[in-house]
Amino acid sequence: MTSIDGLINKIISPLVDYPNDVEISHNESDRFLEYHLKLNEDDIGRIIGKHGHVIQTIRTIVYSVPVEGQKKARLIVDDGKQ
Amino acid sequence: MTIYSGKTIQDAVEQGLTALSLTQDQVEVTVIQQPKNGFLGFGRKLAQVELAKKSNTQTETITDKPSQKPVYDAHTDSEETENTIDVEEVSQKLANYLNDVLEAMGFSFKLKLDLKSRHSIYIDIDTDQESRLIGRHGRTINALQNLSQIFINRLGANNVNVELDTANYRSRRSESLVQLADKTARNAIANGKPVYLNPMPAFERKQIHNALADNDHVMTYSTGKEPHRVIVVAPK
Repeated sequence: MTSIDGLINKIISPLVDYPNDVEISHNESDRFLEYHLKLNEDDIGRIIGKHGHVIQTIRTIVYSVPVEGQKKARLIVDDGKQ
Repeated sequence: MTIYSGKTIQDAVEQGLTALSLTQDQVEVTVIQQPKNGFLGFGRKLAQVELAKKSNTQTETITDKPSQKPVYDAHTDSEETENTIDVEEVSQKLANYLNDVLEAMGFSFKLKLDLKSRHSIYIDIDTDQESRLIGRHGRTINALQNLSQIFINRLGANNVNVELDTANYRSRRSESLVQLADKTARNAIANGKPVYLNPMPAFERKQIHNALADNDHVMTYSTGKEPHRVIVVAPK
């Protein structure tokens, strides 16, 4: 658990303006280990990127790390729009 | 206002700055004469610059930029001395960033930095888990390369390219891309129909375009939207 958290933090902190506002929370659904990313409002667009290219890149890296158990990781940005 | 001269513009400016005991931020530089090396020492001209102290001393606005940049070329012209980003500094920060990320991904590795030019950084990652680093169809290493690019763009180095490599993956890949290009070209000609390749990142598509650029029998173009953009090899 902590290793994925650490990875997400290491990737994202240098890319944002407010690294102290980065929060990661977990939610285990029946199929996925969900990592919910909470960011400062000004940083959300930057981390998602044009057409979501940045978040897609980050997801590729995060998902490439093997996790224990059957469930796959999912990285979700909480932008309050769902 | 005084005129100073030196072998390069940077030299001349530095001489002036020490004479006036000012920093680069505090003066306005006017280039009077570009340096010339001449031929075998004949016709050599020194660079001449004029330094004028700026009237407003708002130096704090630019203090975060390094005032002394290393001279890369004897022919440094005024445009290049004004360049604000130091590639070495950027690459060092990038190396630290990659170190953190790769470590958090659970790799044991060694980074080798290579500044190919002022606009490209090449980083070789030496690890014994190269297949996991490369990922399926190069997915992971390309994502890391993308991330590195995003990171250095964030630092403000907009015209610098990053290439990540491990165990000669890039050169092996480019060999097989050239083979793929040839094979596809033959197929397209034999069937008289355009052939669609698999989706590829931009820099790999470029290699295919280049490989078939001087082929008189086929033409190549790309269609579709990233990241599903594909090359089409069509008979002319």
